[in-house]
Amino acid sequence: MEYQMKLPNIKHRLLEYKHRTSCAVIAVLVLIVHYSTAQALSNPGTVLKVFQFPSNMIPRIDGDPSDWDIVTEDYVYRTDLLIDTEEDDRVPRNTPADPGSIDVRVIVGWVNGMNQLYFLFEAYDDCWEFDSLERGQDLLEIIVDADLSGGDFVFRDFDIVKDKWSLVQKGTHAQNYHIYVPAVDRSWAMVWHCPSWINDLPYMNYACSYNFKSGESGNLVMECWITPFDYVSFDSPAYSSLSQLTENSIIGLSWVVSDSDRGKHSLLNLSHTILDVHNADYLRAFRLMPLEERFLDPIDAGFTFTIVDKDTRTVAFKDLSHGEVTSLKWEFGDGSTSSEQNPIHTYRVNENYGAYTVTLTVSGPAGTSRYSALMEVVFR
Amino acid sequence: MTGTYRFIRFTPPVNVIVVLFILFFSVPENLMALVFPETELKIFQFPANMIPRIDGNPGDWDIVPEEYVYGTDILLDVEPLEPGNNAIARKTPVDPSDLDVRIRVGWVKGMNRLYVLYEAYDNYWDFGLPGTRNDILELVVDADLSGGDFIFQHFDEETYLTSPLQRGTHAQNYHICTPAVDKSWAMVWNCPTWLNKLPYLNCAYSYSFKHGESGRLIMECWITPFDYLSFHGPEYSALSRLEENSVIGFSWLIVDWDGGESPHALACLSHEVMMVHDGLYLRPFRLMPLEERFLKPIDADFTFTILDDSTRTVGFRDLSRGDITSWKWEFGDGATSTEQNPVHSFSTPGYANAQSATLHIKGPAGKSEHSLILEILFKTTR
Repeated sequence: MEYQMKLPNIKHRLLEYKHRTSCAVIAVLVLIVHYSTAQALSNPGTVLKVFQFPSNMIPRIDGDPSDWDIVTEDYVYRTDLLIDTEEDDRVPRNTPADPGSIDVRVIVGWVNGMNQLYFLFEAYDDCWEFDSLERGQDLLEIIVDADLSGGDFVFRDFDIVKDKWSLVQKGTHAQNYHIYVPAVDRSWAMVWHCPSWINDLPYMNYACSYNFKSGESGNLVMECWITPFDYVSFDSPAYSSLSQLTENSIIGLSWVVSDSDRGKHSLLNLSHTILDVHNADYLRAFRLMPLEERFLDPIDAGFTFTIVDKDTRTVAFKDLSHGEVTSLKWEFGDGSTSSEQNPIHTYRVNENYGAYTVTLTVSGPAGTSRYSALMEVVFR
Repeated sequence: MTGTYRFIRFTPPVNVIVVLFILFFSVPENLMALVFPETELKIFQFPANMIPRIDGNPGDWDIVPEEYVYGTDILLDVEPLEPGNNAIARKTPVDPSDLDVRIRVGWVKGMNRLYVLYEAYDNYWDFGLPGTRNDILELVVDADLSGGDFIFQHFDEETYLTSPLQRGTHAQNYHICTPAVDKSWAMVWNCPTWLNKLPYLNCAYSYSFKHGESGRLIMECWITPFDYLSFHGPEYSALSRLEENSVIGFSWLIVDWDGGESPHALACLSHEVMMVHDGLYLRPFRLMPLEERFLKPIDADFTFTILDDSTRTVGFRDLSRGDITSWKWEFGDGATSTEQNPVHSFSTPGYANAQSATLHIKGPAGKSEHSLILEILFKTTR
């Protein structure tokens, strides 16, 4: 399977000897040379894609998948990518997922400027189970590490007395959402080792639509948004740090479909190793894609600015126009202009109560476009 | 609404006396920060799975009943009779053949946003110039009723004009362009620019007219009210907490340019142009509960607060609705309780330091019942 990279095996073996300095040095060199952006990930070679929705097409979380019709087929990840990583007598099965047992279709979306990831999960299961956690509950695990911090985010302790592994909370620099599909008379999700404010509005929203009872077969649609955090504090969101989602950057993400079928259980895993549920090194690389051309004008003016020094009223402007641009004109709102691409301008005095409307006009083969930032340059 | 009309046509001194009278004798304490506390307006609560999509299509708002729609008839034109002098205003009704609007406001429990649907007919849509000369919907919000001037009024001796100076940012005035073409969606008066973009503001429009033409426009947006806004960034600012049944200060004013040198009308919900810079002049809006039709007749619900992570002590608060005669709590450590609001210390940490609590409720004669299970994750203390 092309998605199963050779690197994980090498790296895994190296990790077993990580106390040996020479091996660690080799591992670092290998990762730096081959994979500079996604070096925290064990599967960095194949980059999967997160679709960018325009701000006026953000999917409504209502269980109706039609908002996702604009997403093209190359963003759809299906059952054929998943490997059953359930262990029988501590030996992972590592068999391909059987679409006759459960057949899934997952799309991930994002919106530039919003700190949320949107998911559409559509699945057929020959036996949906949602009676109770003890008797069986179908789950979609979503694991996210947006800043690629990597590493174990849940400790595993081996208890000699009980002869079994147990989990101990460590850090919350990556999150594992156990999303119930469907959630009936229970919270939408349980986020491993995270405080419960994270699985409710405004950080999470969830809607499911289906027409079956527990134990029956059928199709289910689950839509949700989650909010990735670089650090989650038990104390409150105020002590936590939101992940910054930026266009073209890579985030760590994976999912595991935990399918209970009358006592039979499988863990259909996008990372092909069960280590992804507690170690962010084993997530997959996903790119936060730019808006597709069809949502953009052929030429479209845009810019940002930073106040470099408010005392001298010095502002650095950065052109973000889209399309082929042959000439630019900046009007700074104080009568002065510039034709540089990224000018630095110093306002002479505080006119107009210190608030200036700046206009950028760009021209190219596709025509002319203008954008005004209304009284946005403000000096306190 | 007619009472408000009569009230507003009094001359200012009488107006003030009446206001003081109302403030001291007939108004709940939390509304004393408002000049017009007597007519409460309503903000519709959307269920979490029906949050309006900001796309310029008003179909998501069909579930909002007519009583939440505020039209042109409750607005007064407060355009000053002398330029720059806000004290003498026209105070005339707005002519619907000139400007006709329908406004609905929504909120979602748990989200820190106000959603606004603005549907308007204008005989002259003015949006052709690059600056702030544009048809504008001003949305002014002061969610914690802090009240008072949020923009200094500075009187310039040379020009005899009153000019605004930035003061505080305990209330916000969004100047939303209707429509915004080749410019920012909005200018938020004297506020930092991060406020007029996602994730704090989202806007979408639909219309088919050109500048200078007449026609209908739909503008949908969300705004994010702040109790305090810092120029240093969102991390130094304080979001407003929107809570069910609480009252916030909110109002709007439509700046209708019709091609002339000054606005043709300032159609104002507060009937006083002071609302654009003074939180006292906003109207009381109540964040309404979910309507019955979105709720089940009997529904188990609760919240909890971890009182102590080391002893795994949790306070539970029942929030169930319906006619309930018995409560039964089952805790993940095997213990149970029949209290409505128990406090429980879990005897074991549970798998991965997570415990669960299930609430079963029953109605009269056990005819109706419902359950809810929530997980409680404890902070590991060492």
